[in-house]
Formats: sequence, C-alpha cells, structure tokens
Amino acid sequence: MLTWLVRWSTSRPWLVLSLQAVLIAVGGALMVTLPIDALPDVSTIQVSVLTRAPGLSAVEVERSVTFPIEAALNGSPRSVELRSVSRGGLSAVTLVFRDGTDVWFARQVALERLRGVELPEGAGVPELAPVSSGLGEILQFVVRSDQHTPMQLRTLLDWTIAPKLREVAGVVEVNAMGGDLKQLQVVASHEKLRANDVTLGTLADALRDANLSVGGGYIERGDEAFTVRGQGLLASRGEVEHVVVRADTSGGAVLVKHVAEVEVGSALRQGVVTRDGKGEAVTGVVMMLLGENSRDVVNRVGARFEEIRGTLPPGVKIDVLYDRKDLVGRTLATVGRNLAEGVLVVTIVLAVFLGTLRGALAVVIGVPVSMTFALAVMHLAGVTGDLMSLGAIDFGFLVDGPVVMLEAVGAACAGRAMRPKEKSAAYGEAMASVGRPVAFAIAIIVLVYVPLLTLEGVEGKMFRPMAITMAAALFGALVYAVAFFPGVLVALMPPPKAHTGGLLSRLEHAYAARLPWLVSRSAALVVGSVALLIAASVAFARQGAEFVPRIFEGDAVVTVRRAPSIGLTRARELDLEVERVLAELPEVKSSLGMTGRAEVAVDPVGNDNTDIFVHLAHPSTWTTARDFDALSEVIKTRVEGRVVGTFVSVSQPIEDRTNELISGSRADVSINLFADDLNELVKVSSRVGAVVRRVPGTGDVRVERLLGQPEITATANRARMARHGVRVRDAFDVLVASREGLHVGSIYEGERRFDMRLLGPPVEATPDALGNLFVETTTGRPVPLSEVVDLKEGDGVGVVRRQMRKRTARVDVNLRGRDLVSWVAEAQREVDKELGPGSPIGVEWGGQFENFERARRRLSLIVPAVLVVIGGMLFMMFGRVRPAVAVFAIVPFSLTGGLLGMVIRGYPFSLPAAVGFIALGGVAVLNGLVVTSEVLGRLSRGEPLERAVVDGCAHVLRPVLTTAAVAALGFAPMALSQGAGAEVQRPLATVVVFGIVFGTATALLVLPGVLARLLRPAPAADADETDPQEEPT
Amino acid sequence: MKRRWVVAAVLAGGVTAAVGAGVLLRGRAQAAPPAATLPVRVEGGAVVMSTGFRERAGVRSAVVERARVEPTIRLVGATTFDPENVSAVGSRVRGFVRKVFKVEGDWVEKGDILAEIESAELGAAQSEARVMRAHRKAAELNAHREHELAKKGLTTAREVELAEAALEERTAQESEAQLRARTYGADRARGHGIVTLKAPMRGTVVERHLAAGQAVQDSHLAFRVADLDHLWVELEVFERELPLVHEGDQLVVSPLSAPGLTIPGRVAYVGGVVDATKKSAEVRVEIDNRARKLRSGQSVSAVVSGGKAAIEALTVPKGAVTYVDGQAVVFVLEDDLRAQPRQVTVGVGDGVKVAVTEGLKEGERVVSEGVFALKSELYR
Repeated sequence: MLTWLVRWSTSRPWLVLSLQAVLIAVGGALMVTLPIDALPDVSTIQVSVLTRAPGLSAVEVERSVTFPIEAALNGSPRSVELRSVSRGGLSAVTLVFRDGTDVWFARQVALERLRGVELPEGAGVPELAPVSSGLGEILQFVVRSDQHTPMQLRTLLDWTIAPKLREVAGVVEVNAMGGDLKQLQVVASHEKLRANDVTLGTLADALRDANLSVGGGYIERGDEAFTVRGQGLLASRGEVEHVVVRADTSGGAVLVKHVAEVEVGSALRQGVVTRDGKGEAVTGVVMMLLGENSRDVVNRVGARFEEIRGTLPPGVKIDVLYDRKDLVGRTLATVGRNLAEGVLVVTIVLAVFLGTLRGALAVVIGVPVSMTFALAVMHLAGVTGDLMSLGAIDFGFLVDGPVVMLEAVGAACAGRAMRPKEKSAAYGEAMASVGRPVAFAIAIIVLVYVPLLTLEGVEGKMFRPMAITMAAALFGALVYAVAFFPGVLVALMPPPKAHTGGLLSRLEHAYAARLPWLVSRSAALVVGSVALLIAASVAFARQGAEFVPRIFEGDAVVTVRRAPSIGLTRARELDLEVERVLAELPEVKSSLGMTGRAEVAVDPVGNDNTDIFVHLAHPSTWTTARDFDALSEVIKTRVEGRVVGTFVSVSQPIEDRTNELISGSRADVSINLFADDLNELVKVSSRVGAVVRRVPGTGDVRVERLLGQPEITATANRARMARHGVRVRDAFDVLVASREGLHVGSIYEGERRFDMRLLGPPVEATPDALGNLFVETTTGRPVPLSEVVDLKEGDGVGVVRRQMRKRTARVDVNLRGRDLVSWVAEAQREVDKELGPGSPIGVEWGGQFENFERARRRLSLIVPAVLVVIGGMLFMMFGRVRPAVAVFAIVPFSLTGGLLGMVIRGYPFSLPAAVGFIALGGVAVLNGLVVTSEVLGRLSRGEPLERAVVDGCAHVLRPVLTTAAVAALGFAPMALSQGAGAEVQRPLATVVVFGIVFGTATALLVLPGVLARLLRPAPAADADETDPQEEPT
Repeated sequence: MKRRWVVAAVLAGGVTAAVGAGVLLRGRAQAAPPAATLPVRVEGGAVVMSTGFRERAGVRSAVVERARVEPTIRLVGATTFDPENVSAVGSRVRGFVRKVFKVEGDWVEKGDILAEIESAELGAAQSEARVMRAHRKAAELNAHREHELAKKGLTTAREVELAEAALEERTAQESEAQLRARTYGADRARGHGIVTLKAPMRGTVVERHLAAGQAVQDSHLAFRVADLDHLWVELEVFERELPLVHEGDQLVVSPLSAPGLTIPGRVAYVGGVVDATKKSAEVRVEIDNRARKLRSGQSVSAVVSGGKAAIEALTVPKGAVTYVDGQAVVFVLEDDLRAQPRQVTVGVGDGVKVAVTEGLKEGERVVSEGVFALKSELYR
C-alpha cells in the first residue's frame, strides 16, 4: 500500500503539487478562523449563583440564603461539586459540572432548580454569574478626569461606557468598581422627626407611596380609546423634598424637607479602588463570553473604545491598563518566532547536510501541509490556538520522514543523469524502500501522544490540546511523507550531482572505520549506558518537582491578604502605601488596587482581600530581578518589609482568576476539614495546624480563620420590646437606616436609575451612638434602641465556606526539603491520631499534592501504555522480537539524555517535562528504526552480519544525523526561548533536544553492537532459551 | 551466551528507566526561601518584630495598672426649671391690663413691678373698704359716746354693750374689706382700682402672658420668673439602668443639638416610682447654669460616670483589647520586641480604659497602639 502510494505520487508530480497548494490554502483559511487565546482554559464548567442579602451576617446568609439554594441545586444532573461561600451580605454558591458539559445546559439546569427557592425578604433574587471563565477578564480600564468628581465618573462608566461595551459581540459583562455610586439620600434628623411627631416608618412609607406610576385602563371617546395613566414618579430632589409626610394638626402638612435633608450621596461602600499610590480611581473590567475568540473580542472592544472616546465629556480619559491583546500578541509572537526560527533552522540544516536547497525546500513545504491537518483537527476538537497547542509544535518532528526519504533518493540517484520518466521511477524506488520504516517511525510518534489524551483535571486541560495538535500535525506529516513528498520531490529536485564530499562524508568514513571496534566493545558500552542512566536518574531525582511551571503573562497581580477585621479606610491607606512601594521598582509601570467588592458584588470577598493589578515593563528591561519568580520574591519581601499588616502573594491575572474559579490552592498540601459546628471547626483546624507543624519537613502552615469579623450584634429583647410596645421591624429599620439606608424607591434621570434611600444616621459612628437612636413604640413614645435590643460587641464569623453541603475550613501547608508523598503519609497518621478514631470531623487532603497525585496515577498508566505502543509497533514493523528489542533499548538510553539536559539546566521535574519524555520515547525510536531496517535489509540481501551492521550503520549515518540535527535544532529555539509561555516549553524542549542528541549517539554508538549480538544467527533453541518471555511468535 | 547478557542489560536498562520514572513522579516540594529576613515573624505564638517594624506599625505600650473604672451610662432627658427657683405671678383680679413693665428675658429684682392692671372689682373693693371704714368710725364714735353716757349713768349697760358689738362688727367688716382690696393687689400709690404685679423673687422673666389692654381673669397666670442660674435636668432612666445611678453621682450633660458642649452636674434625686407608660423613672440633676449654656425644655443627653458603680480593677487602655478567634486578646510585651497574645476576660470600661478581670498581672506591659498590625501577623 505504501509503495503503491509512493509510486502513484511520483508519477503525478503536478497533480500532487496542485492538490498540495489547495491544502495549504485551506490551511491558511483555517488559521485565520482559529480561535486564538494566550493559554488553554483550565477552569471548570461551572455555574455560580450570587445572591445579595444586605445586612445579613455570614451565618445568617448561610442559613437563610445559601442553604435553600444549595438544597435546590444539590444533585443536579452532570454536576460533580457543590461549594459555597457565605459572607456578610452575600452568598455565592458554585455548582461545578463534569468537564465537557455544555455551559448553557448547566445554566438551564441551575435556573430550573432555582425557580422554587424561597428566600427571606430582603435577600435579592439569585443571579447567575456571567458565562465566563478564567480567561474571561480580557480588558481592564480606568476612567479618569481632572474636572469630574468620582461620582460623576462612576455614573458615566455605569450608564454610558459600560452599556456601550456590553453591546460588543462576545462581551458578556462589564464590572464597574470604585468611585462613588450615586444615590439619592433622604437624611432624616431624629430631632426633627420627634418634633414633628413623625416616625421613621411613616417617613419611609410616605416616600414609597409618593413615587409610583399607575395605569387605569382606557376610556373610549367616539371611535378612539384613551389610555388612562397616573404619573407620579419623583424626578428631582425638589420633588422629594415636597413629599407630604402627614397632615398637620393645623391643616398644613409636614413635608419631607421639614424632617430631613435630601441630598445626593454615595452608597455605603464595600470596596475601594486605588491607583499608583496616588488616590482613588474608577475602573471597569470587560468580561468575555465563554468560548469566544479573545483575539477578535479584544479587537472589537478596542474599536468600540475609539468610538466611545469621541463621545465622552471633555476632560474624561479612558486608560486601558490590561489588554489581553498584549498577551495574545506576545503569545502569537512567541509561537510565530519559534515556528519561523524552527523552519529556518530546519531549512539551513537540510541545505547544509543534504547539499540541496531544492530538496530542503521540498521537505519544508511539508510543514504547512502538516499544519493544515493539525488546524483542521483543532477546529473539529474545539482546541484553541495558544501556547500549549500551537506553541509546542516541533517542525523537526514533522520533517523527519521526508528527510530520510530525501536521503535515500540522494544515495540512490546521485550523479545519475535521468530522463523525467526514469527519474520518477528511480525516485519512487528509492523512497519506497524507506517508506515502511519512515511510516512506522512517524506512526509511533503519533501514537505516543495518544495516551496523553487521557490526562484529567488541570493537567488534562493544559496538555490535551497539545497532544491533539501534535498528533494531528504528525499524522499530516505522515500523509505528506508518503503521499505528497515523493511527487513534490520529483517536481522540484533534479537528481543530485554527488552524494559525497564535505564534512558528512569524512564523518561517515571515520564512523565506518571505528564501527568494528564499537561492535566489539558493545558489552562495555551497554553497561556504561545503563550506569549513566542510573546516575542521571539519581541526579535528576534531586531536582525536585513542580506541577506545572508558571507561564509568565507579562503582568502581575499582587494579592494582599489582611486580618479580616480591617476597615475600608485603613485598607485604603495601606493599599496606597503598597502601591508606592511598588512604584519604586523600575519594573512596575502602573498599579491599580482593588479592595473588597463592588457595590453590586460579583466576588464574595471582603475588605481583607486586595488585588493589585501591576502592569510590568518588558522583562528585557528588568534590573531588579532576572525572572518573574525572582521579581515576585522581591515584591513580597519589599512590601511585607515596609507595609504593616499586609501579606502578599504574587500571582498573574489569568492565573489568579483561574485559581479563584477552580478554588484551587497553590499550597503543596491543603487539608480540608469538614464539620457542622463552626466553633468545632475553628478548634479542630487550629489543632490540626499545630499537629502538622510538628511533622518534619513542614515549611509554613496557614490555618484558615473563619472568625475575625468584628461585629455589633443587636439581639431583639422580646420581653422589653413587649413592655415598650416596640415591633422588631421598627427597631431594626432604625439599624438599617443608620448606615446602609432603607430602600425607599428609585429615582430616574432619563434611562439612568438611582437608588433612593432613607437614612437616619446616629450622632456619631460608635456602638454607643447606635444604642441611643430612637425607636418608635406603638404608644408613640420613643425609647432608645439600647432599651429594646441587647447590643453586643465581639468577634463574629467572617465567612462560612461549604463544600458538598458541609462546612469546611482549610489548613494550607508548604513543605521545605521533604517530598510530598512521605510527608503526607506521616501527616495523615498524625492527624488521624489527633482526631481519634471515629471522629465526626471529615478530612480531605488536596492542594497541589492532589493534582500531582492524580497526574502521577495517570502517568503511571500512560508511561507503560506508551512503552507498550512503541514495543508493539516495533514488533509489527519487524515481525520479529530481537530487532524490536534492540531498537526498544534506545528508548531508556535516550531518556538519559533528557534527564541530563534537565539536570544541566537545573529544571525540576514537571508535567511538561514528562510530556517531553513521552514524545522523546517516540522520536528516539526513529533513528533506531532507520538503522535497524537498513541492517536487516542488507542481511536479507545476503550480506554477512558483521558487514551488514558496519556498512548499514555507516550508510544511514547521514539521514540519522540529519533527522537528529533537524529535530534537535528545530526545538532549540523553544528550549532557549524567553518569550511568553516559554516556561512551559523550555522543559519540554530541553528534554527533547538533549534526549535526541543522546538517543542519536546511542543509536550510532551502542545500537550497532547490540544489533550484532542480537541478530547473530544462532541455533533457534538457544535463542528461545535466551528470552523465553519474549517469544510472541 | 553474550547475547543473553545483552538482553539482560537491555532489560536492566528498562527496569532502571521505570524505577527512575517512579522516583521522579513521586515528586518533591521545592525549598521555599527562609522567612528569617522578614522584619516580623511569629515565633512560638508570639509576634517578634524588628525596631523598624515597631516604628512603622506605631506600636506603643502601656502598663497594666490598678485603677478606678467608672462605667458610664448614657441617658437622655430634658431640662426644666428648678422649682425652688421659679415663681409664677398671677393677676388676682378680673380687669384690664393697663401697662406691662417687664417682658421675657428682663432681669428683675424682688419687688419690681411687672405690670399694672385696672380692675373694677378692686375699685369696688377699695370703695367698700372706705365705706366700711366710715361705718367703723361711726360705730367707734357711737361706742365712745355710749361709754361717756354710761359713766354719767345716762344710758343703760345694754346700750353700751350694743354699741361695743356694733363697733366690733364694723371693725371686722372694715378689715375684711381692706384685706380683699389688698389681696387684689391694690397699690394705693398708683391710684384707685389699680393692681400692680410684682416680682416675688429676683430672676429672669421667662414667661409673660399679658399685653396692654388685655382683659384678664382672676386666675390668669401673668408672668413666670425664674432664676436661670439653677436648672434641673430631668432624665429618664429605664429600669435596667436604675441600679447604676445614685444620688450624688457626678455626670456630664450635653444638649442634643450641640453634642460637643459639656456641662457638669450632680444627681440630686433618683425617682422612687417607675412610670407605667414611660417605663422609666425620673432622675433629677441640678445644674449650675450661670454660663447660660442650657435653656429650659431642651433635650439633653447625660453621661453618668463613676459614682457608686465605680470599681477598682486592673485596667488596660481600651485600644489594647482586640478579638482573635472570638476571644478577647491583649498583646503582652515580653520584651521590647516580643509581643505575646494572651486571652483575657474583659470587664466594664469607661471609654478610655477597660477592666481586665482575668489574664493579666499588675505591672505587665501591653501594646496599646498598633495592635491591628500585630494581630495581622497572627493571620499571616
């Protein structure tokens, strides 16, 4: 079949060429339409249900909002996890679905289940968070002006800029934060209320009743119908002031202005935004719809910004701080540069090694053809073009087959003058002879990628796209090699003049001369190789491991954690201080700090959580630190060393957001404790913290604090309320009005809608003053609030986290100088001992450890599978055990190279490296295959073994060196890359480059001897006794 | 034989590779940088800081000392006049107001004339008094005459006795008529039928209910004169707080309209009755108002401190106490740079310092400022 294909191709060069042109054109079209993003999206399919419940404390939110919602969502089809965060005033329930679930299906399920949920009065309607993912936040901007107040800017953002951005296709939400949210406030004076004998409740009712429109049906007159309308919406401050509260005894009326000031004010803040250590700012974040093409969406948003800029009031400027376009651009640049450099290197190497530019060209043309296959599969499989998919393609792999074939042609036809017909036939003959090993070699590389498709979780989402793309590209290379390349070569390349001379020929001679010696020393060589392998393994094992190397996104997010009790004012001061410290670093171009949450909450975070977005200069200009990890360390020490009460972890925009979404812990081990009783949970978590601190190898331990939210609790005292005739509602309305304000309606300014709130502030913002607020009684005589409620100051629950409907607290541990597995085993024993047998406390061990464990278990299946695939393919190729074993032996030896490479460059073990090793296993076989099939071919032609080995090996030196050089050098730019995403590519490419070099050396130096021994004709019985287990025939 | 050897080597290589991979995949944690470079760290539960950190965090300390804690109670109420220092002036007759001499705010000495009222009633009374005087004089003469005649034996003893009785009756009638005229406020100096209203005490005219020409009834309250140097504050104290207020306690009063203004006072009386509707008892405070900071009827708040509810206890500044994991905690300085959080039981406070009933010893040093920065370290 292969031979037929090759012959068919060589006899129709022009048809093949035009077919190929069509394919390349298709590939171009596929490339343009491919969704592009910077990184693969590792977040899960999830639906977050956000419910606002102003004024409720964390425990109350949990009981009255989170419980019912969780109960409704529990057991949704295809869901795998249910977790929630309840915080003062906000409940966020997240339902995670199985990977691959359609997000719209998931939302539909959630919505249907939410329909029957009954929530307490005062809680808002449960809303689903926007359909977005970890890659969703594509753009962040700041609205600034010298001539406008923060409130004006915020209003402009909310009502002019954001709606226009939401119109843009692919934008799902624009979240606004900072500045002052405009509100019409009716600030009642308790004195005046008393003087006019008006209660807060009466005033609230008066305002509510004064602000409405009604419809009264219609009246017919003659043939026409007139709609009857009642129009009574309050339109201005003046109108609010003149709302009648009650009739006066003397026939006049008490108006709102008699008892209150009506003013435009700022809603009670839940968060604050600061910029560059200078002051507050107003910011917006554009969120992209899940599955959109971020390149296109960002471009459309950019165009819309241009339109918006033209319509802004004079003086208002929009600064874009974060733009995914930068990262996508950098990513594409990295990919493009790696690819271009790869192609260039491959072409040069081929031209030098093969001595034919035209031949090299014919080989390189295979790259776009292979890529067309890859792109087609990416489209079909829904793989986004990013660093992991496009970025990890090695053109060296793609051109291996054609190189071997080209070499065969060179060897067979050099120096012969031929007519076209003859040329086709001769080329075809030469190429068909190597077609089978080439096809098998490439097929093996394709197949080793297949087991990688079974990776799960985060690692699956990162590396599956790569495996799919690479396998598809290699399949394309296979097709190109056997179906297109022969024809292309016939069309492009005349028979080479000579196949000798130059460096390679001298090398070939030298190699041939020393081969007999190598063959005779094979035992020593094998032992040496094994020894080296063991040494390399041991050395590498000391390098440690990390799960997935961090991909540098170009910008940083400095996440600040503080004690949960911090006030917003103090947090703001500290944020500004942090930003000033950051500004001293030359690497920092600008910073924007966001503390707490926006008034319309999307994230369940409190004042203790600050994310400072830091725009960094290009790494080439850095002076303080060499790389991002070092810079992170500098930022951490500087900030923590100079700003009090501020604990920093440095992350990156996408990384941070993704971790938030998958609720991932970056700690090595994170111990989740489950219990129903919060106090129990608090106690147990500190006990567990103390226990693991004692385990040797423990670095830092962080026990999640559930308590720590200072609160003033007003508990209704029923007895005294009864004595005074106070309704609980009246008493608590006073509390609500003191700070947050009673919602009494909305005011419209055109299409803009603002809250109208009734406030009755205390004389001063102290607990005492709260107690002195007056509550109306049913007898009309006011009593102080402190008389009917018990005011207690204390430390309350800041946040309640639940997982699978159980309350949970987390203990995060980072290790120092000990391996995860043994540490966890010991810690588990200690913790079990501490908790005692049959403890009601649930314990779950997770964190990076969990990911690592999962990946390890999966790899422990994948690695044998890969080895079996390689072995099986080799056996299929040769139909005999011994040559297969000989070639297979190269696999572990080329791993030695990969290991040494990692040791030399000082990289720890990581998943990309594992993937590199797996790919290496496939590639390493290629050279062995070429050598062995040549030797076998010679043997079958009746050459004596020694000669066949020596001549055969010498004969294939050129293609072996060429493919090795091409594959290794093709990956070299990636191994040295410093661009975006290079962190993932470097270990992978390092393994492959070093592995191939070493594997090739093994194939050339050790394999001949092994072959000579294994292939020595011997009595069949003897051979069978040698390896009985290897006797499949 | 050698072939066998090679196969064995190959297998050994494979096994080594598998073992190597296994070792690798077990994974190792990376070494994290040591934390010793930080300016502050938590060591054995204590926060250990550098001097630089102490400066930045603004850490100040205070000594635990035995002191008097006077718990404070906030009360509200209204001012009123001191009943011993207020008098009402009524018009005692029906009549018409002729002239008003003093208006609200005027200072008066005792006896100053406030207004004149012209009264027909008074006029009638005065006339009657004159008639009665004439009658009495006539009866006097008659009685005198009867005495003379009786001495001469010209009349009977009975006649004399009758004249004596008539005189006595007339005298009584005269004094009654005179008293009535006087009671009406007759001021003979001003003329017939004129009543003058006089200030019964020195003080300020605070109320006036008269205008010239106005008709007044005999029960009309015309003026109120009060001595504004002395005011009462009547506070409402709800049952719960009654035991905390005692006669003689010092307190500070501030008008609700001007919370910054403070006026000292003293509890003069704690009411013995709890009002059934108000559910509160009355507490009276005497205020020296010579500075005229308060007006009668004004709403005021009062902070009662000390008095008999005060206790002696170990105290720390209010800011020293914070909450960690639901427990009240103070940071005890073991040396200048080492603060150990310690759980304490907090008692009453007076707004500046709080009593600590458990957990501290006298003389220990605690962090009084910069507590949040230290607390933050525990949350690191």
